[in-house]
Amino acid sequence: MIILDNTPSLLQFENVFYTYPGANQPAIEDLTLSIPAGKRTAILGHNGCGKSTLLLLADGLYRCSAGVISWQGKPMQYQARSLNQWRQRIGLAFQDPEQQLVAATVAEDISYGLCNLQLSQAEIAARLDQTLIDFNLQELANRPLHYLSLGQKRRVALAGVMALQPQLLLLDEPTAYLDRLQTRHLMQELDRIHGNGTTIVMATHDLDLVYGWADWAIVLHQGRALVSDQADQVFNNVTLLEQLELGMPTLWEIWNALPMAFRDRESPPKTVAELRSRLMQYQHFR
Amino acid sequence: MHHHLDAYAYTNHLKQLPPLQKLLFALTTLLIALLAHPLTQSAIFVWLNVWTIGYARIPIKVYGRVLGVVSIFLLTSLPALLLNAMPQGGGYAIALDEITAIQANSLGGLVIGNWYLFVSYSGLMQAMEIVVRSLACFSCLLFIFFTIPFAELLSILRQCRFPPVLLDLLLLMYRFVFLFLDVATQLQLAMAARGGYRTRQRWMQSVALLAGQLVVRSLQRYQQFSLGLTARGFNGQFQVYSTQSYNYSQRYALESLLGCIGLVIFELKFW
Repeated sequence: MIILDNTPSLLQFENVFYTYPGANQPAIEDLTLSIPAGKRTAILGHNGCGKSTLLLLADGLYRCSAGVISWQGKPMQYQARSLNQWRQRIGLAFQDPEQQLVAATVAEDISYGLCNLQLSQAEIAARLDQTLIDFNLQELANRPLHYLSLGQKRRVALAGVMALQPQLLLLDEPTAYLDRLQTRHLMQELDRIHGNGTTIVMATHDLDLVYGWADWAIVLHQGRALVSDQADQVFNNVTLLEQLELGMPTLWEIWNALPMAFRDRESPPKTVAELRSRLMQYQHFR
Repeated sequence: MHHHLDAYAYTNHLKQLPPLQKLLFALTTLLIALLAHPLTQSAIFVWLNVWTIGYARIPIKVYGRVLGVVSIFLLTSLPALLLNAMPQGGGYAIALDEITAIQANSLGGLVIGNWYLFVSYSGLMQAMEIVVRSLACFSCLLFIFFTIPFAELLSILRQCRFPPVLLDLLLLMYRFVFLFLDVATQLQLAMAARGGYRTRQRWMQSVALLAGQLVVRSLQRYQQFSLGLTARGFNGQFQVYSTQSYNYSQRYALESLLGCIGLVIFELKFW
């Protein structure tokens, strides 16, 4: 069941198929979905359900075997020149930051994508400086990449993508292997990026992470989009989420464990602070 | 160990000096070391050690260890120069004057079967010349290795209009060395954790497995890395922008200049 909103969409997949060379089953099968502009979209699903493949297809790194991928209605062309333009609009941050860090030092790595755009030296310098400030990387600017921690590498990888000022940012499991503090910093970074007008798509299996963050959610299963809807609607679809054994967000479960009288006519809280505030308001918990 | 050594290039006390200045200095002394006589070469060895250990503050233990490792290769070539063999008896005919010359040249020897094995004076002199020259050259190269980060070295080569393809390859190889080392370390730890190095036989099998897996995993890494490059708009040329700033030091420039002039004068006057 595909539910499409009236929000103008940036990126559309229409009946897209993709099969890895040598594989019997397609990794993406008859996939139709739409990424709404200006929203924070979560792509949910188990490992191996096709989330990463979907992002690689969206960035034009893989060519779909059938179907159409289009940007604001214009289908993707697989010629080098149009792919370069395509990737200027869409930035992709891989799950493993090592995969996309290519230069020797932090500043050089961030400048890599800018140099590929063939901007003037002054423009490169200005954008590089701004990116280093935005991502709080000034002190690490001349540090070799192999001396960075995983959290720092992830920040540099994200900075390298955002320096190109894409309209759509694709993130593949961005919090994998990050500790709680690093995850919080990353989410703050993403809020800032979204606040500046960038549409964000995050592929993850961590429902706690995107519950309260996402405006829009897509559930992927065996290469197909089972549902694509407002995040609230998706998280309220308990039957589907439990059927797929994706689990429910912890906050949602706590909320549902409370007495019925307490949660009557109120939507579940999105953050721990919100839950605490509601509990404090409730006479019984004072 | 590579991670460790590479770190000194980014943290040494000469880090703020312009890399071109350091490179020119090291290459000039290297050139003098290649052409000069042993006494001048010895002076270069001592002077460059003062720069690397004294000025750049590279720990003497680390420096000594690296020099030691490099010297192993040098030492392995010495026996061929030092040792001479001469057939003795067994129907071999040798001219009398040749025997006299060999006896005069020999510092000592022993007879093994039909052969007289001896250390010659000329061989010793030749070996000493090679050792002194090699150590002087090593000290120049180690100065570059310990004080100039690889990225800055590439940047100089780029300014000198080296072929971009060659520089791209060097940079990618530099990045891959660390990726490769990471993979090797992860695999080695995983094997050790499961008793992979418990016995000599298991050790051999694990090392063989490690070598095979390294190739497979490096290829996988390469494929992922290629995707990463493409995603970031790789257009066949690897261009980056450097923000590093340096402080020119008149004191170091003066010492290097006067020192090199002094070495040349010493070489010309005394030899």
